[in-house]
Amino acid sequence: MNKSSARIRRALSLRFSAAMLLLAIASTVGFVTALSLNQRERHRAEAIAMVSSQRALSQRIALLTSRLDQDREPERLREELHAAIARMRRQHDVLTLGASADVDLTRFLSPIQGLYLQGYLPFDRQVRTFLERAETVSAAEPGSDAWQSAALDRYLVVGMGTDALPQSHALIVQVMQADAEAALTKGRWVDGLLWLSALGLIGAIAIFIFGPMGRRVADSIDNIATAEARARQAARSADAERKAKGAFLHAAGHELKTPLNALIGFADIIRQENVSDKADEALQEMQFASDHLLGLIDAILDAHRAEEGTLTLNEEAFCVAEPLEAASRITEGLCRRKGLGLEACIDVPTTSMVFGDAVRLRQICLNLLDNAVKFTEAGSVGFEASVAETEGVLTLSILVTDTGMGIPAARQSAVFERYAASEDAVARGVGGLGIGLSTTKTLVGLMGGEIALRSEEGAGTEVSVTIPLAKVVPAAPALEAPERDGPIRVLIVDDNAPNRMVAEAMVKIAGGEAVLGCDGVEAVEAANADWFDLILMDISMPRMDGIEATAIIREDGPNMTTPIIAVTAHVAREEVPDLLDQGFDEVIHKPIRKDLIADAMMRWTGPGAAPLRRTA
Amino acid sequence: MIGILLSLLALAAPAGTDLPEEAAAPVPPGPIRVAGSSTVAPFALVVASSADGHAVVSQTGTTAGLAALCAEGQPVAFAGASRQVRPEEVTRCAEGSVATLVELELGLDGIVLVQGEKQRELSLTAHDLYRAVARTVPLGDGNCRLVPNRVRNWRDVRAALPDRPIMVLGPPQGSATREALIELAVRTGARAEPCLAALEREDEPAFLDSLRLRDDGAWVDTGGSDGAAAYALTRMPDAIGIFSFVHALKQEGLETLSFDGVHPTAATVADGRYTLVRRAYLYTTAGQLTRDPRVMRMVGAFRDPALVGPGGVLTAMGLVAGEEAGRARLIDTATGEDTPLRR
Repeated sequence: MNKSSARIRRALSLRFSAAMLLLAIASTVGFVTALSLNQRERHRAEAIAMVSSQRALSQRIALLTSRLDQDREPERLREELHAAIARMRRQHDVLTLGASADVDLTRFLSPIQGLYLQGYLPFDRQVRTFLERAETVSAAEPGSDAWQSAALDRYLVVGMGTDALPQSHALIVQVMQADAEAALTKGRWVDGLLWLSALGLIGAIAIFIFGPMGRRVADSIDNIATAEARARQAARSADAERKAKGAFLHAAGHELKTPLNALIGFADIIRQENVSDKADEALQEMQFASDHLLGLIDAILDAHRAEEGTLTLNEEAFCVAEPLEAASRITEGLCRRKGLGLEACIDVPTTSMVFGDAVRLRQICLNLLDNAVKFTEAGSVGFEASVAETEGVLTLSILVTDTGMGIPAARQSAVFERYAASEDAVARGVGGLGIGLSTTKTLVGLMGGEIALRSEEGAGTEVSVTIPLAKVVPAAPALEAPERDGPIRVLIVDDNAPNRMVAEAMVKIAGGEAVLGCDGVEAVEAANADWFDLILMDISMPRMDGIEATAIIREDGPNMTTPIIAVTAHVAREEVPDLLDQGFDEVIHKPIRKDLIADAMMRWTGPGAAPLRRTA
Repeated sequence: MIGILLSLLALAAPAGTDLPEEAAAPVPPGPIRVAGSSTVAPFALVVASSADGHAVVSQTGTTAGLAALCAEGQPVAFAGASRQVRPEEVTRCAEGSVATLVELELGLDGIVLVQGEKQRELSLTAHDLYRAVARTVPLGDGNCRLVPNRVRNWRDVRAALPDRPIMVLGPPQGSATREALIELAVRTGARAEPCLAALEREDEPAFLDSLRLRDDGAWVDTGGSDGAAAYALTRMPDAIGIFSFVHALKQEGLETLSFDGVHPTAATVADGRYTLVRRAYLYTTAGQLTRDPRVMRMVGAFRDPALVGPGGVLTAMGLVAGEEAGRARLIDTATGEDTPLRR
């Protein structure tokens, strides 16, 4: 989580909390207001009920009074009358605020005091006079003098208790109900205001709390989208750049290899001539330099392919000992030139045939050995190889040791990183591109193998590699080939004149006879005109390329079944893996060597020439 | 003063048969007791206090006051009335051992419509009042069937009236003011309905029955307390009240409404332009008069032009002095015959 994201999270959390707090406050205010209004109305209802009760009591008193002289149990009636009078007086005291009324009731009783107290003969006075008269009546025994003198009182108690007092109390109730309705209207306004306030609060929260937050999040999303778009654009640019770089490297590699092919070939051929020892030595140095340059070109291209993820392996049958011995031979030269010893022990049967990429295997060994030589100033370089077979799979173990300066522990994990080894090499005063080991690790990985490094500073380095390889099971022996009359006839097709000359010379050295063609058209004409034992076909040529020419040759003519070997300077082996599916029998890569040509001629035209198949 | 006494002695003579019996009754102890109309009650208080200083006034309404005057033991000395005593009431007095009633005419009193002073003007006619407060009204459109009055808003009574709920706080049953209002306003208003005018001619009892007031909340009986009713009007601004002119003048925060286009004033009440006017009376019995000197003194006071005449104390209180103010008569309860008294 970066700082910006943490800040946004903090702000969001803070704003969310603030919004929740405000809503909680609003909700509490609403609840308390509603509760308070509810309580108020409950007290108002109590007050109204009390006034209504007065109305009933006055009627009760009137009724009891009218029955006093008629009832058989006047005492019971008088008691009831007393109780009703007492209750009505008590409540009247409360209603006129004469007694200690409940504070909550007082709120509703205060506004109606005018009903009790206003006028020249206030209603309060009427009620009290009524109660006094009722008491006078209740105290008199029917038939007594007091009873007689209370005749008006009885009359008035009955009259007022039946009509005037209930009516006036009803009027008071009506006024209180009008007050209640007004309060209800006010309550609705309060409710409305609360509702509007809540809406306002929610709006304010939305505008002032979540609005800015939303904008911020939207800005962040925009920024992310912009960054993504930039990244995509950059990726597209980088991709285009990488592709351009790749195209350039391919082209450059092809262009460099073509003259290099001629140089190496000619050096090879000239050395076959009888030259002086000095000249031979010079030619050998020239070959070493050329090989080195070739190796560098391949290393650069491989590093680029590894970076692109387009590095792939060839899949062909080969004798596992060959690339190991080749690497050993080359290293031997390197060691000799540097005054180092090479302790090579290749414990691999020369009959062990496997499927895989022999060139890449040699490259792995050479890279490791080259590195060992490079970082070793004195002593020797060791190279051990062995195989172990398990269920048709050969596990090749390679161990490269040196007595060089070693690698500090802190740098050991970085040696397989691209360009890291370069810095290391420069730091230690040796040259190098710094891509060999990383490419090696990639190749080992592609082969399904493992690579490990053990080093001690000042004591040397040990690199071990294990690679599983599918074993080749030889097919049934081919029928015995017819005896041959004369030299092996080879059609060489290449648009580059020096390369044609080199190939021709090598075919001759191997005891063959060459016919030359400079493009596909000439190749087809030649193949239609005569029979050949072997055709070496360049791929990239003007007018008609090697693939098209091969397809035509395979269609008809005397060379329909003649082995055709693709000879290509195409730097990418993976560009031509399907050449085998397009009519070619083998692919060899430039620069061509006399051994390579001789070997191919032997394999495809010799008595042991037979197709190979892979183990399951 | 002597003249009054002589007159009273003179008027006692025709009822001589019952005078000895009534005279034998003891003078009731305590203050002079007055019952009856709330309109007359304040005048009775003033006069009693000026004549004797000890009077208890009970606002029972005219009917109850007259009944109390003739009740057994004659518990009250005076009954205030906002109308004249009715023949059946006279008969009941005869049954209650009262042989002679003494009637004093006090003056004119208006019946006024009032409302809270902050309300919009509401100018009503008799017909408006009828349509608003009658319990039943003709169905309309030529149909004379009486149906319950469902009108709830003055605007539905007459389109020119304001949008305002109908609520009339008026005097209860037994009040002479209520009876006068029905007689003078509701009955007049009902006559404006052709159906009811015809009904009055053909079947008067049915017509009078149609003048009963609503009991569905549009009309509210206020009981006997004008003060409470007046205060209620200030708390219920939509309501209008029915008061006697005398009481209306005393109430604060209220304003009187014009009726049939005439605003109630002492002048319009006196000259008859304002039509809701009735007379106020005071009744006593010949027995009380001869038995209790205080009663005689009060009667004398009520006939004194200085009190009831123009510019008198009672007119200052709101009573309008009519030509007949101070006039008195004796009513023989047995025969119903009356004998005017000289001043």
